[in-house]
Amino acid sequence: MNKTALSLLIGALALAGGSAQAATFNLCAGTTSKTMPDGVVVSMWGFALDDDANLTNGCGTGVVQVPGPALNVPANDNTLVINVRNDLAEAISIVIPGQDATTMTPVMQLDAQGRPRVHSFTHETAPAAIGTYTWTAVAPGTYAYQSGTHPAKQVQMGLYGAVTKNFVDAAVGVKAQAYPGLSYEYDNDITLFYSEVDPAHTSTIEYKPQYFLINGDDGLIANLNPTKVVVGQRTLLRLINLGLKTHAPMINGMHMEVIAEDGKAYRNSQLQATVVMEAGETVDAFITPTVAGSYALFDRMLYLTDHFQMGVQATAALNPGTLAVSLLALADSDGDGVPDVSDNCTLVKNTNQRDSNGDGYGNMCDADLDNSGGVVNSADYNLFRQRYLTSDADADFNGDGVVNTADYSIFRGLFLKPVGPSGLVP
Amino acid sequence: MKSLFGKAALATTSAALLLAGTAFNAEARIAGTVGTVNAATQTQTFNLVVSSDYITTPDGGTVTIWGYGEVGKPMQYPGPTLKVRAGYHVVVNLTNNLPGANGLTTPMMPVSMIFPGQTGVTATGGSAGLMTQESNGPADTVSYSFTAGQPGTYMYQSGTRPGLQVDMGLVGALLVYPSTENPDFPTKSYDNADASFDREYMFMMTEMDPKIHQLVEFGLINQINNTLTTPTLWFLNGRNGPDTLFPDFASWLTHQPYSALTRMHPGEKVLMRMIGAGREQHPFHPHGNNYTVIARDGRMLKTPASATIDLAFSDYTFDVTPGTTFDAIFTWTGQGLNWDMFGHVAGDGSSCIPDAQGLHSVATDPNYKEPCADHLKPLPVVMPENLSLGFGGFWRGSPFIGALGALPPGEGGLNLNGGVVHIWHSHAEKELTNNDIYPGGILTMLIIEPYGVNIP
Repeated sequence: MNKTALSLLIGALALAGGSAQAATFNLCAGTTSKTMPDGVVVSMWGFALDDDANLTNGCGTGVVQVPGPALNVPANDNTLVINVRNDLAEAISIVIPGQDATTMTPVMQLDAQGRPRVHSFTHETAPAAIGTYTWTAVAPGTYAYQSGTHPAKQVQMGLYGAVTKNFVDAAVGVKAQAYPGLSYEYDNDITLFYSEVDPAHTSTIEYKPQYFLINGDDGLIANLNPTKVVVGQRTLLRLINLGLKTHAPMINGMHMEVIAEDGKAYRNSQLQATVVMEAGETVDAFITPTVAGSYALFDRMLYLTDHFQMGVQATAALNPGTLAVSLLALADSDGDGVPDVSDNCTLVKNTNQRDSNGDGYGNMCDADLDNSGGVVNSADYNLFRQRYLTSDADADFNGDGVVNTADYSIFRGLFLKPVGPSGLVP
Repeated sequence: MKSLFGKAALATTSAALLLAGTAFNAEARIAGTVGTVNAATQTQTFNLVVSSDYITTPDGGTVTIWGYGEVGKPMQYPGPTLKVRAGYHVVVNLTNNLPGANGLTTPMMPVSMIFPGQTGVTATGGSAGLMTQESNGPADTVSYSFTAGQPGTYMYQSGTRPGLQVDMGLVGALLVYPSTENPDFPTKSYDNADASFDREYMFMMTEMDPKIHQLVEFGLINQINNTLTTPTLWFLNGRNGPDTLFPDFASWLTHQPYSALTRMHPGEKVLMRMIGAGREQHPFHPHGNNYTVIARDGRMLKTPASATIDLAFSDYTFDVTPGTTFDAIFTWTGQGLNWDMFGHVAGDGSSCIPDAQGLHSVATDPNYKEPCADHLKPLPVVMPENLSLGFGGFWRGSPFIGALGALPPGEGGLNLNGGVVHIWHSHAEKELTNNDIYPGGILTMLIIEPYGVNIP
């Protein structure tokens, strides 16, 4: 079997719903570098996602990144397997604090006085070797994987990434559930991964981070994932802190509903403007904007400037720095969950966005059956009458398969009005 | 004081009004401003200016800061405490009067205000910044407006380069009172009986790295590296201990108007509004009793269906985190001391008639709220001779509340009414210093005054 076929097979297995499967991820640990805003190039360690499920040939087109690839475990998978190929020059391992591991065998060495000292929380993967790490009872929630070997050094170097799992995954007609219970349903999620870089890498004792990252980005992340934050919709913020400092994301313009910490749901959620994440901590919070616009989410510990920036701010470029995220909440005038900018009927609810003639106007607001543009007029009415009680797709506004009285009442509502409006047609 | 709020407010607070004198700070309430109140349109307007000036530290030093101030009044640190009523329309007009760098007339940097915790804030005027509209000079006014949302304790701060500007001093408190309350004479902080109080105090915690302020003063902003900020000054309400004990609007602290001295009578409920407004966490720590945390970030700790604040919890050290506010109720009666804190002896005519809490119930008696279980119980130790004691200014020569004892010449003097005194402070001990000199920093005192002593 060639590699492509193998990966297709694995993909098919992963898609097979119903029975519990093992979620398997193949990673390579390797070196990379990040260019900081002041031009300093910092060498880091990270993970790449393999492109062919065969680690003996490396990770192929997979690129080493910091943080490592986000690993989303399907809701019906209880087992998580991470295979890692170690392309670094020293042994590594992978742990997920908060998830039960099947076996963890600490690795020790003798110090100068002959005392055993732990240097790895679990079994190591030697350079050039391939190791396997398995969790057989993966709990839903927001977690992070990280190196369990010399973590004071290797985590700072960048060996970390997100692990997330829903209690229920989203499907057609089913909302995702972060934790058991309807109160944990959400529409979209955004993962924000906080970390830091001390370019000196001297030690964690004299730790002085100079660069502050969100999702590995060393600059301002403007309008992050704008399509995900929609007025009236509930967005789950998965906040993860793998830096060594405490971070306190504060949102301006609304409160967050804080629902969980370290992957465990609170008994009662709490409305907060600011959440506190100590080193290694994760926090889950819902936001539901009620007003369209831009919402700043910034670190209230005020780690808001990178090392360099003050130096160039003498002039007009008053850049506020990093660890600030601008969440752009998009308007959704009809409340159908599709933001106006991408809604083919901005004023009529049509979650399925059905547009049988493909003109950019959804059927629910497109009674312009002759495609003349402009106002729906008597010509369109004649066409509708001709197609009445047929299965004509364009005149079947509600998409129930037949042009009937329901469609006629929709037609009457649209008669003598301009087609649309649609966010897809300017 | 004449209330600036309408008749409905007067009706709800008529008792407080009758007791109120004419001074601005006549009631035991948090010093601040209600701005210009238009009761007809239910609007409160605040006109603020950002300017640069100096604050003083207890070691005699001065620090350059940037502060908000009301037009016609000194700029201040922290900014004016804005006291508004829920449902009122709030308008804040902000003008930038910072000096220009190197003699230029253009301010060295734009400034702005954000109001985390409020929804639907609109900003007009000025120029667009990252978070909000910014003012670029004395002729460039930005107007922020919003409808005061749910009651609670909030902060406002600069939305422009907050890593630098908050350290420079651009931060303040926003207190939203329930719509049924008069912000001039409040009796509760939330629409819930569990949030009622007799007195309220603010504890805003901040810190500064003087090196940053020196670089700003010298026009060397470009050399500031905020990632290496190392605070050496810690503040309660904009003052370092022991300046925290001076009264509100002390004339010699022109730009630091807010006291942190806390005074109460036994058994009274004190609302503590704790605000983390700087960049560090501060484990604030009252002595004398636990407090009950009732709200966080302006939201009561309660389940939605509950009539009471059912998720409130008792604690005695809480990390006040940047960007976070905590409201807590503190009370003190001396219950459980196992000795009579009034020093009563049999036959002195005193009585103790317990209420449901076991506290003396006759409000006209000087020992009102005395824990009756300890009535007449003698002090279990023999008081040491004065020669065996070291003295602090608050020691009154007697262990009993309201009593004064003999002190050597030159001792005492800070506790003229014989109150019970407890230190309230940050338990991060380095924060009890001013630039490495103890005592200082986030430190104040609670004085439990005997009934009969008027607490302003």
